[in-house]
Amino acid sequence: MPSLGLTVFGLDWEFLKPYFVLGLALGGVYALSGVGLVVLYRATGVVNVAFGAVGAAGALISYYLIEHTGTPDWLAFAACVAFGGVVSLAYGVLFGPAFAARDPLVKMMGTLGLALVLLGLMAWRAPIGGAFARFLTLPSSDHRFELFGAVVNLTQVIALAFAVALTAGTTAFLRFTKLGTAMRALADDREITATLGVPVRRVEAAAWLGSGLVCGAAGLLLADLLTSLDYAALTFLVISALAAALIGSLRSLWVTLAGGLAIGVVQSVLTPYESVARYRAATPFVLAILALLWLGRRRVVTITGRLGERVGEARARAAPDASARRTAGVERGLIVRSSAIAAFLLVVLFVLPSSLGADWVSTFTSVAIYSVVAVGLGILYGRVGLISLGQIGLLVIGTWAATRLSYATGLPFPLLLLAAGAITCVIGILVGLPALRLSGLYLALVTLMFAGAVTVVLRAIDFPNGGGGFFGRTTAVDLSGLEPVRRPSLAEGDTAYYRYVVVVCALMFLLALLHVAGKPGRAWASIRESEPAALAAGVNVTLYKLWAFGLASFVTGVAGCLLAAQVGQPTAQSFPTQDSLTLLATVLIGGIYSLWGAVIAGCFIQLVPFVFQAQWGLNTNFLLVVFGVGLVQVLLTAPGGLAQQVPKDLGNLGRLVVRAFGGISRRAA
Amino acid sequence: MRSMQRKAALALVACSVGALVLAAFATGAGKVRQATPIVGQGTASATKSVCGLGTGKKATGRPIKLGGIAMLIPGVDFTTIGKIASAYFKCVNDNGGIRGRPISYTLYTEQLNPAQQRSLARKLVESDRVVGIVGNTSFTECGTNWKYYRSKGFVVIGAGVQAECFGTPSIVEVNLGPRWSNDGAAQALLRAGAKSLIVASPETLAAYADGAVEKLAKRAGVPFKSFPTALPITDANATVLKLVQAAGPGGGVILDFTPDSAPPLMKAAIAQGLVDRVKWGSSTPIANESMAKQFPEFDGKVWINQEFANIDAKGPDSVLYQQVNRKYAPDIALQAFGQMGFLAGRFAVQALLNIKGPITAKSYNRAVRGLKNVKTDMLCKPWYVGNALPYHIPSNFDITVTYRNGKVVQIEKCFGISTVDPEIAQTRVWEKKYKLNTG
Repeated sequence: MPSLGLTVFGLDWEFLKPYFVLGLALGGVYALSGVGLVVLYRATGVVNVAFGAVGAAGALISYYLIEHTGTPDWLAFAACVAFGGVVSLAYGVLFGPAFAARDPLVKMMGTLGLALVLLGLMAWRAPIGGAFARFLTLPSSDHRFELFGAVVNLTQVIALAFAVALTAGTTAFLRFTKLGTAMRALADDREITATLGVPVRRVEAAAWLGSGLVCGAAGLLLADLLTSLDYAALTFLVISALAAALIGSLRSLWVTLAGGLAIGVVQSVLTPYESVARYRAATPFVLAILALLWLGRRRVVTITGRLGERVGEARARAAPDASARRTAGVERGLIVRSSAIAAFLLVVLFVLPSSLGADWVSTFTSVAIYSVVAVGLGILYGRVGLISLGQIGLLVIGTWAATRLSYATGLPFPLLLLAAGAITCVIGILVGLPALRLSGLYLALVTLMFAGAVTVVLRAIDFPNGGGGFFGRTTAVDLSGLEPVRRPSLAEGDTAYYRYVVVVCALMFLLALLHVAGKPGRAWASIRESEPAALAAGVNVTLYKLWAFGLASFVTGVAGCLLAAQVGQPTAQSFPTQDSLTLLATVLIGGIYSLWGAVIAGCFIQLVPFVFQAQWGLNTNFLLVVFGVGLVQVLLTAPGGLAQQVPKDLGNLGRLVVRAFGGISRRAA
Repeated sequence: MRSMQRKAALALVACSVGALVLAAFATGAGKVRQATPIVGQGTASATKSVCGLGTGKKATGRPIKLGGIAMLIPGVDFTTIGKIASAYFKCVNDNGGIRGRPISYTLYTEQLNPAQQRSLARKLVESDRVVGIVGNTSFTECGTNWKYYRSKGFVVIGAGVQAECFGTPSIVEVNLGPRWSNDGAAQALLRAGAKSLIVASPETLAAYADGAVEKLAKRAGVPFKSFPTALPITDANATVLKLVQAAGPGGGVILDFTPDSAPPLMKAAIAQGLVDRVKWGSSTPIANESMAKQFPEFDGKVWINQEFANIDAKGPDSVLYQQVNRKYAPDIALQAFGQMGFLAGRFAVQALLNIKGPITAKSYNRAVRGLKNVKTDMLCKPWYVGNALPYHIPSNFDITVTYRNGKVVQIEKCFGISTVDPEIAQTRVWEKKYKLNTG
């Protein structure tokens, strides 16, 4: 076929055509996953991040049925779809009502619990690695045809057709059927829907079952399209798929479909452009961010009011005795709290390092550092109501900046800390500025996209290791003279550095505390409760929101610098995008409304895996199962996290003991 | 609301218990193992390898502690190397141990978290007080801990991936790693007449892994390009099309991926009808029968660098490895990672047996540094560590294999990794000067 002479950024269209066709096929993957996510969101109001894990687990079951039991293929494939339906239905029926009144983010984190349980079970019982890969190939993949110089198989066509059919079918179903209308109403407001006489439990169950069947079918198709049955990749494909769903504002199925296809085409067409090819994996994230910012330019995408109410309710549940505490005597409380903090610091600074081994000291150093990262998240969500899933991205920036500055300059360590904090602060504000147009779940997801994009760039450039140029990376083979990121001269040893880190972290906590107790804290509280009311009261909402972003970014940047010096030689592989989700999960478990919660979160991230694995010898993949169950448990029963629940439970236990002893002594008398 | 939460919590507990019960049943607990003859017993000779002393008597003395750290994340399990090293130690323990003392081996897993890697290294050395570290395998652990190991006088015997595993003084690997395995594949492709060299590696490794091939291509005067590839590969079709276009007709494309990541590209090449457009090369990981059976379209069309003897080789160490793996780790299939674990364990035991006095961390690591001319049919040349070398690349000869009728078959005899990297040239100088692998 003769060339049309059309060039796209320097490449001939004829040359690009096969990439365009292959991009459509890839887009089918994103579109199918994205549409599946939106279907459930529209039907139940839940962003189901377990979408990929459910499909992957179903595909794995299919694989085992075929390979190890000789089950006919069609029956195994049906089992995959059925598994998706059953697991989703079970989750929806058991936990849907309990999560119903919670804000969308908590609902989403609940499904993260399910995802972690499934991922942990798959990794624990069916590990990958070594010499073998699993394949689940559909018979349709054997049928191929050529289109514009590229070969396409029937499975790719089916995936795309399935996405289109799902979009059209769901749109019609939600619009024209009684059940569909009930689902939409349920997703919008469960209580009002119930008062209108809709059998919410049954409608909800139907929505979960339907979306679960879609999960299973999508898992089957995606397992084939990704070629090898890599359940971890399938599980976390949901993050890229969320990009397509976000382009459709989690509402429009048709826009999601188009968004998914656009992502696939752009990513594929970028492949032959060598200058950007390395960054093409960031396509979903970049397109989602651009789409959301475009949609948010007039603040049309917002669920502030509803979310605000729910966050307020959660806080009220979390701290019902706030007013009682005020009347109980501020001074006494202050003395008790100060004494507790002083005692805690003394133990942490002097007792721990002298009584524990080097492995524990190293672990507690990491706990302290991640506590500060958790504080940053706590400021944004717990104080201002801004939900950020981009903290890992900021931690990466702080760590990278500190590493580069350590190699490039002779700055004293305290200045290195401040510089890393300042750089991260500026980037955090730059990210926060456009993101302020969004709120609630959309803000959370756009920041997750930011973290995803940062991760892709980081993997392309990696951390500096003492080489030249802007990226500071050497490719030499003899690395025996390589120096790690430097530590403060007075704290080069592990124990001294631990104490140094604890002091810096205490200062970061103090900085956060001063803000919370001061004018910014009051402004944040008013913004959190009601943005219009804060505006009416003369609070500069934009300034204080940016202030929160800046402060959270600063402390995270400082933590990044501490981390760089702690590990000596950071690597890109240590910061996967999904860590943003698990970080928020741990902070929610610890208690996002409390500074103590940040300490507990730090323990969950660094200490618990060390104890479970290195001390008790548990399989770390099994830990994922435990963590997933724990996450759902805490989200359900302790909205204020362990920081508030444990003292309450201890108090209740104490009262119970006192009552029991009182009864015994009364009987004795 | 509260009762609903309580019900949900109860349901959660019930689900967890159910999942655990199911998982427990899935372990296959209750399998009855039949008694088998003692593996590794006898007298070592040119045709027979034994486990340690080969006495056939169980070691009962005070255990000698060894340990290791392996990466285990959802989707990637590198514990096979440590597990097979452990299997070899069990075989040694069943054959008299180290002068009557059994080896106690602890394998910790890490999740690519450098802070955790640091803690685990310190736990092994300072809390568990192991005398040596064996079987480490991770994408990043070498970079995190090599300085610590050096400061404590430890020399780790493991299987490496990243640059620090091969370019630092305190780690010595039984394998070649991606850089020189790619070099071997590139040499084979050039000998087969490839007109260009294109390498696709995981993006975080590419700068290191593709470096030697770039130099080799320059020396051979053929075009070269590196394609760092994001994992997991979601756009395999576009990626493979780009690779083949870049190589041009008759060019060479080297895939540097594990069996988890290579299949998408290989399947895409088959689907797009690109298998015959170029000559395909690969680093070691896909040299196994499972892949050969899965990809008959590549029969005789892929030049795979193999760092070890073929998995079904009949040399004494190869046979012993197969026996040890089957008896002591029956759930793990024979594979290159198993060969690495076996060799790491065997070299550590050799060091332990060489110690004359008390076995301590100091004496063990001194013995490790003193290892040289350790002969094994699983490697092309004797293996060594060598005293006070700034870095160690003891495995620097290899073979080429390909797929044929579902099998992996050898097509080239042992050949040396090219000296385009000055470190390889320097290594050869040291080998001659200190008689490290020349008898």
